[in-house]
Order: sequence, then structure tokens, then C-alpha cells
Amino acid sequence: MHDQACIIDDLVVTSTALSPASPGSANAAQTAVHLRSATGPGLKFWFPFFVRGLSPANVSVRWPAICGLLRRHGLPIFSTVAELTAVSAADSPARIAVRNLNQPFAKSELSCADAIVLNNQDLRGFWVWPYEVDGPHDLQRLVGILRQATEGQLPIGMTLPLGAKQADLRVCIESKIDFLTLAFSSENLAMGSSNIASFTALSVHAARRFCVESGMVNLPILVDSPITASEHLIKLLAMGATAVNVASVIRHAMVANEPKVSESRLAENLLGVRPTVTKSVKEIPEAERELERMIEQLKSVLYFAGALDISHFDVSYLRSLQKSTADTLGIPLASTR
Amino acid sequence: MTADPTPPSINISQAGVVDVLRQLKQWDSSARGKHVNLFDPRKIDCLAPGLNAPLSIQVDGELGDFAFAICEQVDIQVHGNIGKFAGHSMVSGSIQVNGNVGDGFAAFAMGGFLATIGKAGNRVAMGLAGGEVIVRSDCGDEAGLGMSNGTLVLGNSTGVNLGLGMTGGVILVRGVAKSLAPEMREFRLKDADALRLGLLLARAGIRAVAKEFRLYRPIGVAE
Repeated sequence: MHDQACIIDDLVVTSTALSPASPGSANAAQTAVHLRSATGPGLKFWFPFFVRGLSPANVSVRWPAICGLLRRHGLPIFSTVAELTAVSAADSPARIAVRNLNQPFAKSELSCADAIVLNNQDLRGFWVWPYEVDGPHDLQRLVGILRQATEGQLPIGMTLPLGAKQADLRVCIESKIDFLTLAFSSENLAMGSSNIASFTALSVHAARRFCVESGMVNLPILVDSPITASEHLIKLLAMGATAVNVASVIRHAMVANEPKVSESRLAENLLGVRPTVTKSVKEIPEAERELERMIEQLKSVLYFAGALDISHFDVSYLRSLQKSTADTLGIPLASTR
Repeated sequence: MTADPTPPSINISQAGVVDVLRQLKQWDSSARGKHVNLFDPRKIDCLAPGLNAPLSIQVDGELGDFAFAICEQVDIQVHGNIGKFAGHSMVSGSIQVNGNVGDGFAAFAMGGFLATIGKAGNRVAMGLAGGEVIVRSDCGDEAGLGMSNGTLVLGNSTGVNLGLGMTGGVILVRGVAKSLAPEMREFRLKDADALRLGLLLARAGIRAVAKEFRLYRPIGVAE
């Protein structure tokens, strides 16, 4: 029996039908992603990657270095104004403001954001519609006031859980949002890593298919999943994701050089010796190397698949290795061209 | 330059919400006076969100949902009913309604003064983080849901679960509360509280004796 756990490993990226040869290189691939807004320029990032889930609270002294890294590579971060005040203007990346469930729309957050996303996860990690969304048209009104308050300059998005039901997706699409974020929820953390990848892939595939059926072919879908394997993330881009969260990749790369604070904490607790104050980290070469490796890998995949623009890189570039995967996802077998 | 003596008027249903907001912003920067009349709203939704201007606005007619959300500095008088979530995330200024309001009146407001002389729906002042909210007549269930700060004054009876999930602020009730949330307790109305309440009632144009009100706070919150 086919193991559902490795469904994303059963997919391979292939080239499309042969086309006339043209000069070029892997670096010629267009990798920029554009979240459009009603009237403004929207938000552009150079590569289909973003960061969500990193903050000064969980990366400590490495926060300014992470922000600088994202700024250099033109990637946005889901963050608050307060979190970025510790970062110099030259190192501040593009910011996607998050309005969490049952909180006010803070003017300071709206006025200096590059995009806004509504997040519907409560403090326990459960996904619910906010109190304001009581019927199918309420979200449209909520998006409407945000669009007017920001004069249509900012892209406005909505967060749904991975595996969201079609009814919820429909409410979002009918609300004329500019982008959709699919996020992994805390109740799914008990899954194994290969299960997470497969679950994410299935969810993204289903969401994109629903968008196509609803006539929103180009609705950007940002996918936040704790996947660390870069080949899985690139396959997600082909399955329908517009951009993927690379916070787990950065965090994973940093673990090797994590500063050892346990000894100093022990000393503080047992001996009353205060640890020396650690200066903020300026660079995180291991994370930068990993991010650059991912970018190179993405460019290579696009080049060898023959998709010279990330916006054209879709499910037609994928083939299934297993018949069961082909049946589940509707992606043809690698043998049938 | 002297201000134009006749206040400008905008027909909302003809202009549409986007154009109304644009015109209000233009009036703020012009020298045409700071008073604007809005009429014929026909229950239009999402009127003037994010308006930040020292204007005095009078609305004649019935408004839809999410009216005057995220507003700052604006003083608004509405002669008619308003739908759900009027004054959502309001920062400062005032909204006075001569009519009824729907669910979620003054939800997540961070400041300002919001009052209605009519009835209010469920979850009035939900998530209130500051400012003062007054409902002259009855209001629905779960008033003050998740309030963290500010003052909610209820001039008549209220539904079940008053103050559910409240972590701060104060609720003053003159009528009967069907049920209190478990964390809510009645406290003695001190003279200072009565004086402050009297001022709030006077500002809303409500004749009532402050001593008739009972004061509720969540337990563990300093008076």
C-alpha cells in the first residue's frame, strides 16, 4: 500500500515540452513575487520566500542580523513596529503587519506596513473566524474598511489554516483579498516531518485548485509551514504556493552555532554570578549561506525545467513517480508525457 | 480667510463611500470650516474609516456596518440607527448616536467617547481598550466582552455574561444584568466614581442620578 507520508517525495520537477533554444543562464530566471494592491504599487520581493514566526523573543541577539539578511535579499517579514524599532533603518526589511484575532487595528501598525494580513488564530492556537465575521459578507466589510483606511495602497491578506475548508476559502475569495496565507497550526505539531510536508502539499494543491475553479487564478498564496527541506519548498511553489516561509530553514541553519547560554544561566542560578551581556550578533553566515543555497537551487530548478519566470512555474512542471500520488493529486505519472 | 458660513453637505448615496472619505480629507485641509453634513446614507457600510481630522460631522439617516472605524479626532453625530461595529478601533474623538446601534458598538476602541441614546446589540464595547462608552437603553448579551480598559455605562438592563473575559476597566449598570461573568464582582460606587459618571452622563445628554448605578469590575483589578 502506498505510504501517504512521502507524497511530496513522489513528485519530481520535469521540463515541459521542448521549445526553441534560447541563450541564457540560470541567473536569468525571474524570481520576483508581487503582491498587488488596489491602487498602490503593492509589495514586491525578489524571491518567493518570506519569514513568519521569528521575533526578538525567539531569536534574541540574532534579531538585527536576521533583519539585515532579509533586507539584503529583499525578503519581507511578518512583524510588528515595536519589534523593528531595535533594528536600524538600513537593516529593516519590508514588513507585513499582522492583525491578530480580537485586537484593535492599531494606526501605527497600519501606517508603516508594506502589507497587512488578518490572522484568525486564538491564543490556544485554534482557528476561528473573528467576532466581526458573523456572515459571508462581514469579511468583505472588514477588508473594505482596511482598504479605505490605507487608501488602497497596501495589499490586504487573510490567514487560514493549511487544510482549510472550501467554504472558508470561498469567504476569503469573495471578500476580494489581495493574497491568502495558509499557515500551519499548533495542533498539527504532533505530525512527523514527512507528514507535515505531505499535508502542506495536499493543502496547497487543494487551495490553488479551488482558486482556479473560482476564477482567481493569480491569487497569491503564501505558505507558512515548518518545512526545512529546500526541495520540498520548491515543489510547493510548483504546486501553487506563491511564496513560502523560510523561517524554519533560517532557524535550522542557526542551530549549529547557537550561543551556549546554559552554562552562564547555571552559574547565575547557582553561584549568583551574572553572565556577561552578549552583544547583538551582526552576521549569521550559516543562515546566509543556506538562504543563498536555496536561491541558487530555485534558479537552477527553474532553468532546467524551462520556466524562466517564477509566475509560470506551476503544477504542469511536476510529475508523479507513484500511481497512487498521481491519482490523489491528479498530477500525471512521470512516464506519461 | 473666513470660513464659509453654510456647512458643506455630501449626499452619501450619490458620492459613494470612497468619494465621501476623499472629500472629508480635502475639507480638513481647506479653510471651508470644520463642520460637514452627510445625508441620505441608505444603510451604506464602511463609512469614513481611518479618518483623522478635527472635523465635526453630522449624519442624517441610517448607516450600515463598520461606520467610522479607526477614526481619530472626529466628532460625529448620527441622527438615525447604525449597524454592526460602529466605531471599531476608534482612537479618539466622539460618536453620539440618536438612535439604536447594532452588535459590537465601540468594539476594540482605544479612546474617545461613544454614546447612544437608543438600544445596543450584543457585545457592546467588546475588547474595549480605552475611552468611554454609554448606552442609554437596553443592550444585548456579553457586554464588555474581553474589555481591558475604559468605562462602559449601561443605562438600562443588559443580557447574560456581563463582562465575560474582562481583564480591566469598569462597567456601570443602572438596570438589571441577567447574569454576570464569573470573574465580575460588584464594588461600592465611590463619590469620585459618581462624580465622573455624572459628567459622562451630562456629556451624553442623559438625565440620570449617578448614585442609581452599580459598579462592576473583574476581580483582582485595582480600583
